[in-house]
Amino acid sequence: MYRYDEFDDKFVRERVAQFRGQVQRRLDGLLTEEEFKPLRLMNGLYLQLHAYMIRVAIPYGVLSARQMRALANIADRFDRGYGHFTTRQNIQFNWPKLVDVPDLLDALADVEMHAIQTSGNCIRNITSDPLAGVAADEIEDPRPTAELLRQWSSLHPEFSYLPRKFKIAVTGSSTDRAAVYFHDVGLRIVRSDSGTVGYQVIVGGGQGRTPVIGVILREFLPKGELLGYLEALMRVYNLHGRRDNKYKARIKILVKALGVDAFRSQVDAAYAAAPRHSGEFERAELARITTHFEMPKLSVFDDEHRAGPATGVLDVRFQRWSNHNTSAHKVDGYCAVTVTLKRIGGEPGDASSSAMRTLATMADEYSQSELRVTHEQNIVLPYVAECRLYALWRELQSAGLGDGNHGLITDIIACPGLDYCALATARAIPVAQAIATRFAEPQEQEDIGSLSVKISGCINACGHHHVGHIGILGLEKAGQEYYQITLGGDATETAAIGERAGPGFSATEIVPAIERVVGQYRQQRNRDESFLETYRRVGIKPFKESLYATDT
Amino acid sequence: MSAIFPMRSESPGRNFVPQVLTANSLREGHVVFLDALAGWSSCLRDALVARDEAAVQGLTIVLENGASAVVEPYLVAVLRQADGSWRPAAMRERRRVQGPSIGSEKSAVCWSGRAA
Repeated sequence: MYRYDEFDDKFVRERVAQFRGQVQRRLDGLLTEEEFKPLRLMNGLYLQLHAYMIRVAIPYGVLSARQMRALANIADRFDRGYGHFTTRQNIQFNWPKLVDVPDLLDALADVEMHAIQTSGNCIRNITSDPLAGVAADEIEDPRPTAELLRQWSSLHPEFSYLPRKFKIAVTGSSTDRAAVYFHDVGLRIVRSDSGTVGYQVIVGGGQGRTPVIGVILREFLPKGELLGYLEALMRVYNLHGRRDNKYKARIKILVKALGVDAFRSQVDAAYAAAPRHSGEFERAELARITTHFEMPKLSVFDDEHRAGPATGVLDVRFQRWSNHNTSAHKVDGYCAVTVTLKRIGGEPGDASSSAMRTLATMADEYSQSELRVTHEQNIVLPYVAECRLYALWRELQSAGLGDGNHGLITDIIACPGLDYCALATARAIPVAQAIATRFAEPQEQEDIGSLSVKISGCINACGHHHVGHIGILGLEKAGQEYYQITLGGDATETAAIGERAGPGFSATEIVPAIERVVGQYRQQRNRDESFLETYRRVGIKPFKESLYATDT
Repeated sequence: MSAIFPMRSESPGRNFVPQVLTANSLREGHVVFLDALAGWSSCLRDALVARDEAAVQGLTIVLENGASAVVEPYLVAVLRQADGSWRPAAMRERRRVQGPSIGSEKSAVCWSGRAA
């Protein structure tokens, strides 16, 4: 893992001390709320529906066991004993008191964490593949690039007041687990025909009220040119992005308005106009950072042990879990384990302090003291020996964290919705709970197979409904919550925006509506065909028919 | 105890909707309502309900002159219930008064004027 150097540590401490003074002046009445609000937002502190909320950055989703324990302690000391892992690999605490926030930030600084740039019109937390560094299909580990970008974008003076927030994701695998087509900038680490590793630059993707699939801006950007090229790109956006209308201020709107070719020409011109660098500094810095991300020395198991778990073969729950919740690893005999924070009837992405401590202990015991947060609001243990899977699962199971539902219909993404969020128009979490409860039976989930349900409580789409195989958008109509269904969305390398099925459903109608969609899929599917494959083959029509069939 | 704002006796216009002034407390961030003694209460049942235009004007004065102990104050329309209590007209505001509807956060509701 990347470790702070003395400058990082000193800087974060100074920011906490500065904010402590600002909070005190606010409490003393020396700062008005108008003056204080931008200061608190720069430190990740929002005012939500019921209380303040603080969003803590988890750079590219990587956490140490020590950091996870610190988050558990913060949940107990400053919140109500839990935290919410978000769709941008961050964590939010829902109930901090303003007077406690400086101490909370000090507790974060103790473990090299902070809440800087988790709000505001700046470059937000860089996100990445939760399987970075371990995925079997990886071309190169994206974490060093993500860390390079984190350092570059942290308090970058030119890019601290952009037209709007700016989100960057990096992946190093052909399989996209970082949703790079739905970010302001998505970077894919690729290998050129000549075998050189560099970046494919995707621009102008996003969700929100205007969902757009990003387009390729540069097919191949050599290493050493990344920061210069991104600086040129950001400069064009900073100059020409709309500041008159926040709903049209994201880079996706600019790219659409100009057309990608014209946008590319402007970026190329800005790049050509900037001082030329050899790229040596960037390459050297990337090499330095890369030393922090070397593969840990993993024990080698003899053939007898490598054969996998001899025990557990008769336990169908374990078999199900190991089928769905493990991913192929670079190192023979190892796998990455996904622990879903999707207990049936629970709140998607929420973890109690005791669950966080269990996860930290499991990371110490089984995964080199490291964890990852996924944009699907789950936790990954990246270095688990296959022969220890059963032992790990038994411990997770006894802590209520052993559900084998990763990627299944109950592994639902949901934003906080109207239960917490000041912007929400409808609740999202209770809908997730109701759907998960309806499909709780493991055999039924198994039969339905790979299916992502994603729920947002407003048009801003934090619950990623546009890219759910089944997307649900909660709105308010005539004083009631109602829910629109979209079908066929896809956050991966086969990116697609879901198509709206038709009129929305009330809170009581939404679960039966989802049942009808799933029922239609099961009728239509060919053998072993996933929901998305079936949808792509038959189109939306039969689903519409089942959703809106009138009883006769 | 007398209200700080005079309540006119004549009946308000037909389209008039009673209002309360809400905000979040500065130190803790909790939802609060302006009460009849110019304090801030966490219970809607304690709120000063402006039942005519003049009273709404009074709340607006508090709103515009800034209440330093609170954050982001605004007016909320409330409707009278059959039992005589008040509750917000808008779904969002009802949720804000009730707290989250899920898990351990299902909090004691004090907006009906009946709950503890």
